[in-house]
Amino acid sequence: MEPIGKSETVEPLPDDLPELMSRYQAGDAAAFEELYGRLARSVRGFLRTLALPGTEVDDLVQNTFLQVHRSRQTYLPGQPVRPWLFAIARHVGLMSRRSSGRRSRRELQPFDELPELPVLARAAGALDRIALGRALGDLAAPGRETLWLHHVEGFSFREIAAIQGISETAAKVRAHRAIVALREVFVEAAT
Amino acid sequence: MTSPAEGREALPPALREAVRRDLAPVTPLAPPWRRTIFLALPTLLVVVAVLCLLVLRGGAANVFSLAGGGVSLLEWSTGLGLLWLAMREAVPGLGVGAGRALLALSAGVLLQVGLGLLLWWSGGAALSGPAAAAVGAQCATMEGAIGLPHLAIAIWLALRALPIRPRWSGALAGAAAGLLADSVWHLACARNDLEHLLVWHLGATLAMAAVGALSGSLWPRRPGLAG
Repeated sequence: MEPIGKSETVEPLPDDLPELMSRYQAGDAAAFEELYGRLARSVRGFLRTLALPGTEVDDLVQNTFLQVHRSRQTYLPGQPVRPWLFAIARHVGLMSRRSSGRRSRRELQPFDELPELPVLARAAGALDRIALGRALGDLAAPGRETLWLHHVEGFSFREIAAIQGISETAAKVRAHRAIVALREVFVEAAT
Repeated sequence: MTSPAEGREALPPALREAVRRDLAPVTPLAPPWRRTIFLALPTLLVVVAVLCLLVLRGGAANVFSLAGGGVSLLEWSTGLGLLWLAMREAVPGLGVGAGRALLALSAGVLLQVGLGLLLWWSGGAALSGPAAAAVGAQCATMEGAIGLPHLAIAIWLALRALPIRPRWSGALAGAAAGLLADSVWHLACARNDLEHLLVWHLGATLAMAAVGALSGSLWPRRPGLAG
């Protein structure tokens, strides 16, 4: 596994998202379509880490972008787009989960509802993709969410803290605990 | 590991239609610091005007002491900080989080308690009975009269953004309004006894924080496409 604090495996996105967002705020429909095309998949993966079933996630991706549309004036020009958008996505996801009475305790999320998992290139041979998916699904939601944001989406812990409304240290602790839990699962499986 | 940029998705027709119906250009929200100044600057001007008035009336010694102008400026500065946090908390992705918000609120309360103790030690004489209640009620009323417009504007500024934790945004904005109001009214209130300061002045600030938190909780959530 990658050491906490480093995300060298994630390729940086082209940083023209703020420019796209400004065009969208100016009323450019094509810019919104471009934003959706580029970010919907990431948002879907993230929403699934919040322990929401696959069918509901599709609706929530749409609701997230609808909320983005209604709140597009709250994006501050020049700021990174993804932390803003993921904070909205998290809000939409948590509202949905709360309204339907689900809780973030160790949800028994069916394996087939887990997102497509990107696996570290050097670990792909050693780790079973299916086992990794199952182990991630078994993690507590906050840790899984933090792990996903950092290692898959490439957010810094500072950005994760702002998205989740916790301190940077708490985000690091959550990620560390999730890594330790994952490691235990694989050690047990190997012995 | 794959890049999140891989794989693009087509915009669903229902979402495209919803967006197309309302695609007017929007003016981006002003940054948190600018919205903070918008509200706090008029209060500072009032504080400075009252200070000038007191100087003209011959109370320069009191105005330039910690118990006079010093307390006001400290409260104004703390109110400014809380207001800035409330404005930040209201923007997705810039949120300060519940822990830091609680810490900031506690700092605001502790400051007012500390200043109350300082004023009391510097020679506060306690009133008692109906007179104390009458003076206290007058202070609370005046703080409300100064603070409630502040609170209304602060809540409006915070909640017209998209606060992810509206209760915390509201509480921060309310506490800020309370401190800003006290920074003005403190200059007119001659009472320095601890009971008066803690019950009526700090009480007014806490009440405004509670009203702010309540306003945040009642802020309507917008439904999405799926209901």
